[in-house]
Amino acid sequence: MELLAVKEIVKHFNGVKALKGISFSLKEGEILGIIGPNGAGKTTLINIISGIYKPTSGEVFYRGERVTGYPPHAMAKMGIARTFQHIQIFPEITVLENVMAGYHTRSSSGIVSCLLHLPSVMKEERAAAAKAVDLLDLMGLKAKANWPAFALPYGEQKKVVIARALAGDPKVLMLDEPAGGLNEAETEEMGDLLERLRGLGITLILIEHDISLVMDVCHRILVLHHGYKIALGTPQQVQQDPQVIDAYLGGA
Amino acid sequence: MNQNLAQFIFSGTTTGAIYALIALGFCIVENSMKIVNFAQGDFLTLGGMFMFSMLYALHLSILPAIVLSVLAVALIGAAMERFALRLAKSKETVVLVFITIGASIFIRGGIKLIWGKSPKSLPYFSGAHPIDLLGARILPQSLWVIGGTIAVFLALHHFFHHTKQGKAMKAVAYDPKAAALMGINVEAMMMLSLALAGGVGAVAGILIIPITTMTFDMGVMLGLKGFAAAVLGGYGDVMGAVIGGLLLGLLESLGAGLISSTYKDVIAFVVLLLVLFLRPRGILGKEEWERV
Amino acid sequence: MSPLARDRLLLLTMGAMIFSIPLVMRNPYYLNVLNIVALNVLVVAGLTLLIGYAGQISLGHGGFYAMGAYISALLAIHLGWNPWITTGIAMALTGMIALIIGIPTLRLRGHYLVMATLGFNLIVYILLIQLDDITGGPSGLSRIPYYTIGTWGFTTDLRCYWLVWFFALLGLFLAFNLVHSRMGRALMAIRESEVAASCLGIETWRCKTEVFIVSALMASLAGSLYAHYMSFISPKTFDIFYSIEVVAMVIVGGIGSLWGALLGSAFLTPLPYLLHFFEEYKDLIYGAIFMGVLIFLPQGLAGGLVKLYQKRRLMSQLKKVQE
Repeated sequence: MELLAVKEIVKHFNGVKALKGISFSLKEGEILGIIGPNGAGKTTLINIISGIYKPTSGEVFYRGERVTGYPPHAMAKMGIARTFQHIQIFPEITVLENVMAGYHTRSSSGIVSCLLHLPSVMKEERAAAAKAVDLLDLMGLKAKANWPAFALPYGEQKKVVIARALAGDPKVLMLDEPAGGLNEAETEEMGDLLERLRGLGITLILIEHDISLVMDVCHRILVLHHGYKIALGTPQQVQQDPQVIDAYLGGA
Repeated sequence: MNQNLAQFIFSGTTTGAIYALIALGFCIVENSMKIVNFAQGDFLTLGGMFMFSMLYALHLSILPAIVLSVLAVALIGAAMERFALRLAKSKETVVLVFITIGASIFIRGGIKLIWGKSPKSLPYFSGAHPIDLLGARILPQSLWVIGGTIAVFLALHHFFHHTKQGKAMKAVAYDPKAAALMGINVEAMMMLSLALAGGVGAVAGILIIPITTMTFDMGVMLGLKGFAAAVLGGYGDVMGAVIGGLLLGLLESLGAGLISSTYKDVIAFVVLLLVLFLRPRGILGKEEWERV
Repeated sequence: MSPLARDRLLLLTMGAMIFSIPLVMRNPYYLNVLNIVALNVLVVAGLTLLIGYAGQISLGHGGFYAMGAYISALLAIHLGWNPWITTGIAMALTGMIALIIGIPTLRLRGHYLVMATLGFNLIVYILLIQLDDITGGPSGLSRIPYYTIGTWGFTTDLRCYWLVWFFALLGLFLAFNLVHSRMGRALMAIRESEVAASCLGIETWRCKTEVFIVSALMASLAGSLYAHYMSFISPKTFDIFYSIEVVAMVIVGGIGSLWGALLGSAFLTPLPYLLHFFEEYKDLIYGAIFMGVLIFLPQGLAGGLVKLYQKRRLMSQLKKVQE
């Protein structure tokens, strides 16, 4: 079943054309890589899907429903989660609390219940903590659950924000350069983690500069260049596409 | 034109010019440190008080008195950067802004100690004889104020848009680390901006002390009005400071004249809030994207 | 021990200490200062949620403090209603006003938010002075009824000590509940990045407005307590300097720490009283201390302690991992 689809997305910033008619669709359980040189419009595209930007024209569909221009929190509630290139971890609180923050969409206590710390809040807190511990276990970070987040090395912080995004049980997870800024060993670990996520059947959109990582884990790859879609296909197809080769070796 | 209306507009323009001048002081510090300097109003009081002492205690003639007063307040501004803001262990905006509030309390305490609580005044620069203009009577001193504001505005506009130093200062505000890598002396720039703000504040004080007698705590309300003007126009923009100042002055004067003098400040602040609700970054402000 | 349990235990200890002070010290002058500290704790705890947790500055809470005081006092004086009831009505009305001004105001950021909240406080202050038929103008309102339980009235500084500190500690208790919950994490997420927060499903505008209202309600309660305790109010208590002072307490105590609310209030509230001895030098010294604390204690009084604690905890965690 088609889970997510974007149709003819165009985005202008003060006259600068960042995206020029991008379309693709995503099936459940699929892993789609988005690659392209810097400034190709990759992050802009997922910013539009997650509702941070409104597209100049074009539509976003989720489970067949038109969701163009929905605010980010609504998209998150419907099951579209993401991480950020500039990580956006909450440095002053613990690793566990960071991941628990991702449980927001699955809990519902309002401010009054929270002030009074009603039994319903306690129940949700326990469920959130249990979920967070599970995810940290998956990340291999269970032992550091009570560390303040700033004390973790960068590679581990990147895993924490992935765990945070997973805490809400999203239907689609969008990762913006999970291996960006990581050293070789950390990148390898990230690759293993992505393989594990693939094994769990999570639907993923993956923006990444590390081409070999993308080729390894993705079912299909979308190649952007100067805001245009220049290729969309399996890793093999994309690798042999003359336009892609040109963009990466020639003109870029 | 209705004679009263003309009068309101002229007096509003004069008040507005004062607010604009104070707003320009706020603007300078924003363009180096990205903070609100709440001591700006007290720079104004200091300028007026120094002028008073230069003339009556040191018996200087008017021009050297002006120059020395401006230099003195500029020095105090520089000292505030060097001995307070620069020493701050935390560079969080809110901490730095509250240090300027502390400085403002400190300066006011100092003024009260040195010049006392009694109001100070000076004679008009060029006579008290009002001029008739379009049916309104205006004091020559008002023209001094308006002229002074225009001069400072033009100088600052030139400074920020056409000089290397001015552009370097803005670069410091935008990204101090990158500016330092480009070879800009960040700390010197910040000190310069506080000195400039002090100088501009002093000019404002010198121009208005003949109109409004000066008391030690005068800077509080005038500082707030200048801040409001800067926000109204679009914080940090020199043109915005002038537009915001004039608008606020006219609002007050027309509000007082046509609606109620008791509630002129309320009217001005309500309009300010309404403008902000419609344009969250002031009249000239542009919406910024949060980078993610 | 969970962070909430730890904070509750510490709060219990603090409460025991605070409530034993009158056993050894009953000087009404000092008790009066401590009572004002308690009222400030209530306001500052609310502001810590707003400024420290949600990252939204307000220099307008003097306005809410004033509303709590004036609405409750006026209803009690003119309609003769019980002060407990008028306190509740004042909170309800203040909460509604906070909602109305919070929605458009909290869209603003940085300096613009500072100006808008300052503007709100200035408007309230001018109205208090100018609407003198109702508010008594600059000379204020006097003969405000005391709180009573049956025939027993909270008429002395000592009796009010129990009352105001009960509410101050209750306020802290509720605030601790909030920060160690789903909403508390949402607020911190908003402080770090509104965009990232909203991508976690957090309705940022709604959370900001709600915490703004909570902080306004706490300020309103403190205002009502002040009015019925002092039995006299005038606009001077509620000017922008009050708003600035309480935000200074948030910062000096340590932004982002509720313990800082307690420490900041306890440190800055008595300062003007202490400096009275210096007569004409007092503003100068106050300004210098104010600057000095901000310059040299960047994390505030509580922040320094928290950092120390975090460091020790980190070291022990490190040891555990190594074993």
